[in-house]
Amino acid sequence: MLERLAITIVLIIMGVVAYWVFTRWQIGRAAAQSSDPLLLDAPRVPTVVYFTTPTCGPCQTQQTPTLNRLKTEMGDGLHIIRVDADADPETASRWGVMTVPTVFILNVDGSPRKVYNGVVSASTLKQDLLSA
Amino acid sequence: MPSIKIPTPLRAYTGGNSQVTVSGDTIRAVLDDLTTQYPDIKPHLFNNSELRSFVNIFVGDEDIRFLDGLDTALEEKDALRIIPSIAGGQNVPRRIDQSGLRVGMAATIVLLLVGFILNFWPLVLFVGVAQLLGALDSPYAPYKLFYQDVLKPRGLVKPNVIPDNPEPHRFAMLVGAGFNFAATLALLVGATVLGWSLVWVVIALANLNFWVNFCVGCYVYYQLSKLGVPGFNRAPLS
Repeated sequence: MLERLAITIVLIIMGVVAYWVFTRWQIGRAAAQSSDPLLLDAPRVPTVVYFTTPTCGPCQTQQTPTLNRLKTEMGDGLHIIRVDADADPETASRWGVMTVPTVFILNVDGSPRKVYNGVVSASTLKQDLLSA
Repeated sequence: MPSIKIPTPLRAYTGGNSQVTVSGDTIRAVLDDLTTQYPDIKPHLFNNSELRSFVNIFVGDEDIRFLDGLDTALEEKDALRIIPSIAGGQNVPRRIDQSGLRVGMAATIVLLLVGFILNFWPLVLFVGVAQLLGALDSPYAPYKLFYQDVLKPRGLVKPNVIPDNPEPHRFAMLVGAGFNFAATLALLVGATVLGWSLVWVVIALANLNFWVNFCVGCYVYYQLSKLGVPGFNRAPLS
């Protein structure tokens, strides 16, 4: 049993590390997009680049309303760029997007700070944005 | 007292009445009163104690699925409407309770991990059966019973009803069940590496769905639907 427990712990750690490596790779891809046309007109405020599709249920019912609420709260202090990954698969591929929703947080200088794969809560996003 | 507007297809069961005055301070209570007054309507609203998926109840303009469901509190003057989903067409979207699905994913992950650590194949078989019953939308599906009868009433998990097609999720559960049954067979004949490898595939995919909202089974379902494979009729919501 101890051996199996050890194997379980090792596999879980490997899974967590693999996900961390993947998100680092995504941040690296995002960092290489500083001259992406998406970001050309971005003001010098924290920016969210939000990849979604029209057929993504969690995007439409959870992530989009969350971002809309944040925008209402933060006003001009937040810039949101929304990308339809179905309509623009090349941009999604450039940014290393594998699933939707995927949310990138960019600092005021446009450098990527964090990436979230899957729905991310308003409180987590706000914390990240206020320190961006 | 609250009133319920009855849609035309159900008026045959309320003596032709288009509106019925009911008593009760929650949706559940007023529906109980309605089915007490008109018992013939009950099988058209409920499947056992669950509202049928195509039955939508509104209080004013609010769907109760986005309030407290059957436990939604009512006031004296509230006017309810029963609105059946429009039948016809292969792509009428329905709603699913995402919290129920996530409880199932969490239970699958935990039970399979425990099964692996204890080298206990019956847990793998149990998870396979639970997933199969979930895929068949059985009222006796263990995960469903656990969520509805244990977690939800105690407020440990809140419902999260979103528009989505249930069929891809059921297909994903069916695939999971298949993997777990194959794993059980492998373990029984002594192919332990193969058996537990199949279990770890299910654990990995369940984690992907739970933490990242990526349902591999759903993705496969929609690809098969795009290819026109018979039986895979639902397109993604738009």
